[in-house]
Amino acid sequence: MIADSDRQPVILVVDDEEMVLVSIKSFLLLETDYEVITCNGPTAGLEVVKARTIDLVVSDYLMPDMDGISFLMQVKLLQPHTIRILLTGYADKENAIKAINEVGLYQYIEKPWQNADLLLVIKNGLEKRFLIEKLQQKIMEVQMAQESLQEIQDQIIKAFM
Amino acid sequence: MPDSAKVLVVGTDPAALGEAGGSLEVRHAAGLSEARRLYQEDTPDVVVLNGSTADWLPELAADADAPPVLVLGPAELPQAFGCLSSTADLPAWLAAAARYRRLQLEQKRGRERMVQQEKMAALGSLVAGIAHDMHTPIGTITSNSDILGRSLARLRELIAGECCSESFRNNPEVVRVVKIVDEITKINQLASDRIVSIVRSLRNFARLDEAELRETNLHECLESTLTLIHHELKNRITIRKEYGDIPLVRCHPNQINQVFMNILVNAAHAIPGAGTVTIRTFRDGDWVKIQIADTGIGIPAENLKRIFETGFTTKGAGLGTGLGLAICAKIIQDHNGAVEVESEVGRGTTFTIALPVEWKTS
Repeated sequence: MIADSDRQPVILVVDDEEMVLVSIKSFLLLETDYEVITCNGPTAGLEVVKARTIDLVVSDYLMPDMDGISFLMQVKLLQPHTIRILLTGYADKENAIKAINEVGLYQYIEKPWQNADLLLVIKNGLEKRFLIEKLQQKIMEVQMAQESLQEIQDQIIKAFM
Repeated sequence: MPDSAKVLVVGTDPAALGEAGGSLEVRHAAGLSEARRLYQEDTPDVVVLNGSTADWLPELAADADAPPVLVLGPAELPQAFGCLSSTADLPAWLAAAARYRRLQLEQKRGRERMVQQEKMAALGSLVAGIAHDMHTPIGTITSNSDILGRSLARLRELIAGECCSESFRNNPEVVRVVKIVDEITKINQLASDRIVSIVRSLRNFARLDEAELRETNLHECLESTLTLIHHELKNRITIRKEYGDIPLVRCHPNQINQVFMNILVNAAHAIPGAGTVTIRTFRDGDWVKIQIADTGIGIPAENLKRIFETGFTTKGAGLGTGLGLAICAKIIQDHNGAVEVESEVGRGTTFTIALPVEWKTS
């Protein structure tokens, strides 16, 4: 699935509930080869996002010091191409949908979540992430090729003048 | 409230009521002890005392819900509804007191209904709060049982694989432990699925987030309610569903859920041993109808006509409030709908709720 990427995907999970972190981390370690980082709050989460490249973030909505949507907005500012997923209780559904439209979330997952659904959403999110990465790489290659072509052209013109 | 007022005359000869007594249901007590007994038996709508029995007045007046009291005699008593010096005025006073009593009872019922509705609203928000708080722990348990199942499958592959010695693989203790963990994990998954579905039903039932009018799938309402009253039905009562092709109905789903719950719980209570409750839904012209039929003991005709009355109950004191069906009737009425009941003693009871397909704002 992520055959196009030769590096190990890095996932960040943020929730103020330790039990959720342990459960999701255990599940991902069992089923995938991702590097999984867990943080028990947005502040700690932002430290991680500042320090290293994160491919995908899963964040809880209701947390004490900052809600999940504000946190994911901060993540977007720091790393615009990180895939952002909100984990939310049913009652916050409206907020979640608003956030998807306003902040540009990739998906929201309802608590209580199903692991199979969570995995599918994460896999698809990563696929998108790596496709975009690949696309950017191609664009850069094309740009570079164009530049060198321009250079050759310039040299040819210069040589014949 | 019956058309004819119930009058309790204490001390005075009931003949004093003259022709006014003709349209009334008059009981007579010679003294106070007999009066108290008659009062206990069936609360009258008006009490008529005289000079020698007026001592009872303060005791009666202590109860805010007590009926109005007329006193025949010259005394001026502030706690009495009226003090009459002449029996000639009695018919007019009796009519006034009976009218007052009717209003007093209506007000009391209104108050009781309001209290009940407030209680339901408070219960609803409590339930919604609990359901919300349960998301995280239930989500974790569900996820962990799933992880256990997956881990065990992985472990079994390893045990079956080459890296594992034949003696370990066939060790009876290993086989036994793996079997136990396998069974327990499957049961855990079933149990957590059950909790998830109960919490979902609670959430749907309370529907606090959607208290307003909305297009509602009544079959979903029925299903949520059935999940919640599972303990009333258990293995005793078979639910037969005959769901028809009905459109979405514009209603307050939390209120309609309350109606379904009341009628379904009553149906379960009406069935002494094992029995069947049949739920039919169908469209009938401009109406969507929901029929809930039980094979219970049935309701005698004299009770059937009072069944939607506030305060009417056949359950013992403390068991029924006599408000359940009265509130159901009010809710359905507020939805421009109708609820009807048919019953035959020994065969069972059928409630039919009709809700309009098109909601006309009145």
